[in-house]
Amino acid sequence: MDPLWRRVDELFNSALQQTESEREAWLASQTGVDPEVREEVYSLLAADRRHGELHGAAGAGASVGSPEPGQRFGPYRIERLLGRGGMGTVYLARRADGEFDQTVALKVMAAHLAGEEFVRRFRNERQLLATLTHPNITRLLDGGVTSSGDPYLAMEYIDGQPLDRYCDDRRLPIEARIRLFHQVCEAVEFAHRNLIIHGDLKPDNIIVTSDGTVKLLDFGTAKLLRDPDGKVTQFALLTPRYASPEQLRGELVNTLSDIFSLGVLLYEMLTGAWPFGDPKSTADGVDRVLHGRAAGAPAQAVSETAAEERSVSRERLRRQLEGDLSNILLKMLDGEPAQRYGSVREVKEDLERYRQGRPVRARPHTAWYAARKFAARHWPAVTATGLSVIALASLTIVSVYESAQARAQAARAQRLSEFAKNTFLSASSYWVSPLHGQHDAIQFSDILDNASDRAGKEFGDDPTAEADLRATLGFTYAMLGEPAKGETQLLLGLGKLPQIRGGAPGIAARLYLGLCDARSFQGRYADALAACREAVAINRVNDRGQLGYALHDAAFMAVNADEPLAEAETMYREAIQFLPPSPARARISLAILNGRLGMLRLRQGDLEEGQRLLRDAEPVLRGKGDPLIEIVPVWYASAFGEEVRGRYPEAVQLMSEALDLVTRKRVAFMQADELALQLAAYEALAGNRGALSRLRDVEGRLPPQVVAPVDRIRHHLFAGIVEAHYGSKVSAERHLRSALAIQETEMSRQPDICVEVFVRLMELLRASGGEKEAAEAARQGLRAAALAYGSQFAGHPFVIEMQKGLP
Amino acid sequence: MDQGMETGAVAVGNITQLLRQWSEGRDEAFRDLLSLAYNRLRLMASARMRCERPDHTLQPTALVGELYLRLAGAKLAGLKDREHFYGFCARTMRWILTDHAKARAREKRRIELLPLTEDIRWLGEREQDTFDLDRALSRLEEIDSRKAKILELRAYLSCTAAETADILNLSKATVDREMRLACAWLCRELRPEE
Repeated sequence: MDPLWRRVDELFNSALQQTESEREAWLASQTGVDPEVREEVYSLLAADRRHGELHGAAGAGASVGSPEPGQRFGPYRIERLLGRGGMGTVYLARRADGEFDQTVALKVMAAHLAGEEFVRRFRNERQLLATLTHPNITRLLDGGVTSSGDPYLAMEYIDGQPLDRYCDDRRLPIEARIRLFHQVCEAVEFAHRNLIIHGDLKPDNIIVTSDGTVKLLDFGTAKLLRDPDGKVTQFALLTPRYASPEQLRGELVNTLSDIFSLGVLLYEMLTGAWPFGDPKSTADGVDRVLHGRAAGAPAQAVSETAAEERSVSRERLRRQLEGDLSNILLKMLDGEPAQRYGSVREVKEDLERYRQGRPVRARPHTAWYAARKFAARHWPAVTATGLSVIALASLTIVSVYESAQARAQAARAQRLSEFAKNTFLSASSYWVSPLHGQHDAIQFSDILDNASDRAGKEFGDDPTAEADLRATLGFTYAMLGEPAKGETQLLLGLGKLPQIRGGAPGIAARLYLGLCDARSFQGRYADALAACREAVAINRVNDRGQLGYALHDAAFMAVNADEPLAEAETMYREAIQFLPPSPARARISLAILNGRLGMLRLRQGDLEEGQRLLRDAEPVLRGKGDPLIEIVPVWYASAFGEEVRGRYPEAVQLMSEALDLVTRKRVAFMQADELALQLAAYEALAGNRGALSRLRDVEGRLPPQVVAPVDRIRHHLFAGIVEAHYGSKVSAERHLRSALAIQETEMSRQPDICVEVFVRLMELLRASGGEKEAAEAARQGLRAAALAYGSQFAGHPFVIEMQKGLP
Repeated sequence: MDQGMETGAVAVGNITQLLRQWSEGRDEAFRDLLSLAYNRLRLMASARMRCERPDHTLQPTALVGELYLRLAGAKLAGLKDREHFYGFCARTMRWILTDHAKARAREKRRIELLPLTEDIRWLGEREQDTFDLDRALSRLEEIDSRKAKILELRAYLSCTAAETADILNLSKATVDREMRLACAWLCRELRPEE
């Protein structure tokens, strides 16, 4: 510590020994004090006083004591405490104004939550809840805000037992439990129809009266699907045990979250166990958050006690829970919202089918993970936060471990997993070192660097293991935004192949696919394509199951690397021959490929066929709940289709959705800024003034450091369009001409790109009176269009537009 | 809410031992360690909720989830003792909250998630506070790392003075004294006299 600061510290503390009024005088009287130190202590003493004032002031408003029996809230007088929850406290209360004699459950919102904004929302919500009249939902009777500002709700008071206790006390067999659950579904379905999500379904919130009527409580914390401004509102505290994975991740939730919670509820009602292991074990909770652990087979979960409480033998209960009931439960509990039932009504219907012994709709799905990988490949949901970095870290370990184990080489697997573990152990010093005191201290690349250094040394005697490890390291680097380092690792890995007997084709394919990614992230699409072609060649012989996505990647690279579009089309079409085995996943993969093909058809001038392919792909990727991120290319292709046809507002709508989804899912690879540029261009075409500020925003935030010609052209084209409408005409022309220059020299095999640029250039020149120049642009554009569109030339909107520009 | 929560003291007592067991190769110790951390973190996360406004996006459970991921990823090895362990937790919390606030600011949305400590009730009343606290702590680290450490534990993990003293192996009186100057210093940084 700096000696001067030490002195400040001492004097400050000694001064505090004096009474407050005497401190400054005391300080002045001290001799031999450096004037700088004295100044500092004065200033800190003043700050100390100020801190005290602010601290006291802030405290005064915040400390509202809890209500006492006898205290009144509006016309209600509190009798006793019923319970406490996240949002407030519930009391038994009676109406005290003599109007009615009525006992109510009075929910007093936590005072700290009360604020102007909260009270406003609270009022909105109260209105909405008041309309929620259903026999299985406790009625909201009244509500208000007391003079001291505490909001309260008066609810119908229900005398009964929580759902789980009710069932167990009566030893209800599962048929009776399903009937009770049916009532729960009725209530939730009704709420959903009224655009209300419960968001905190759990046995404590479900009361069964002595006559067997189910009543849902606590819609006071429900989420409204929309508030009047159309914004999604949420302010519930959830109960982790019943929360869906998306809720736990803090994402926006929808009705499918309630379906998950209903699944947990039904699972517990039927089996007496929590689907994810031991609800009290934090380790099981960790597994759920960290590894997305799937629900266990219901039949395996039942205990002797649980069977007794259901008035059957354990054996019989197990048999009852196998097959259809198990499929229904697991479908409700799917980690992927889109795989769950689409509505509570579907749940009810399937349970009804089960009851009547008819076949249910829920089916077990198999091997979806492998297939999902295919779907997710080009748009990995790698978020930009450290969170995903860590998730990736664990993935790295798992993949190193599993791929090694698959070859049944236990010793190597052991060694690799040791290596992975040590990698993280040795890196731990980075996490606490004061040298890395900033939040960018989570330098995952440090860890990877360290691992890369050691990989050669520790596995020098085992080229297979080293190549395998380098494949993982290389891919991870690439994903974390260090593709150049990734490339180095992958090339090192490839260098090991000649030493491996048999060449390890599986590892070789992984290395080449990784290399393809690493290079494409650097904008080197031609090099990426070369690597990908190797992977295709290997998989063609070695592993046809993986051939589909190697072909998809190769085609994608080909498009960006200025290969003729027809060549990419051939590869996409071949990929369709190698879809994943699971039907659900095959549908998704097919939709992705069709989306790609649709874009190619549009670019080749075949608008009908292009839009048909995109229309087919869209609903599959949109799914029932949240759309898959893979829908984004489909949306921007469709937006392009609309643009060509001059339907700009539709194009804006599609791009906004795409941008919204990418922002919401925080996908690092899908450049939100690129989508924003495209959106800005369509906004400008649609006559929306906001386009210019959006363009400036993107340009200001991220000086475009794009290397690939295809990306540079996109930027110039979109910027040119916006400038032409709302910015500087000079700058617009410069942008458009730059796009043309790049196309001519670097993307010459894809003439369709310059057609659009010529159209926009022609419009710009005509608007500024340059008739002759405009005609020249039109002539050149038409020449390119003839090349690009072939038989589709006549009647193409761009062609018609440019023909108008000829003298 | 229905789960019992470990008190800080119990957790503190076991951590050193668990860390040692884990570094000696007993993998289960890591899970136990996370369990201990979890309860503490949940408590802290729900406490943090108290000063949150209703339209928060980072729910307490998500907060804990994210901490989990980071803790699990860090594996906590080389964290020799409870001081390191809690220091790590506090630091992680600080990253998460600051990152979150930054992301919200980028999206031009209101920042609503605020650090909370009963010692500094004014902290968190302004939108800038989340960033400013982070920056101020970085400066304080350079001048006086012990005060920074104390402030970090108290502001981000809501540790009491006694817990802080226990974790850092100091007397409570020392923590109180250090905290007083740290608060004054922070107030001068974040709320300069107008």
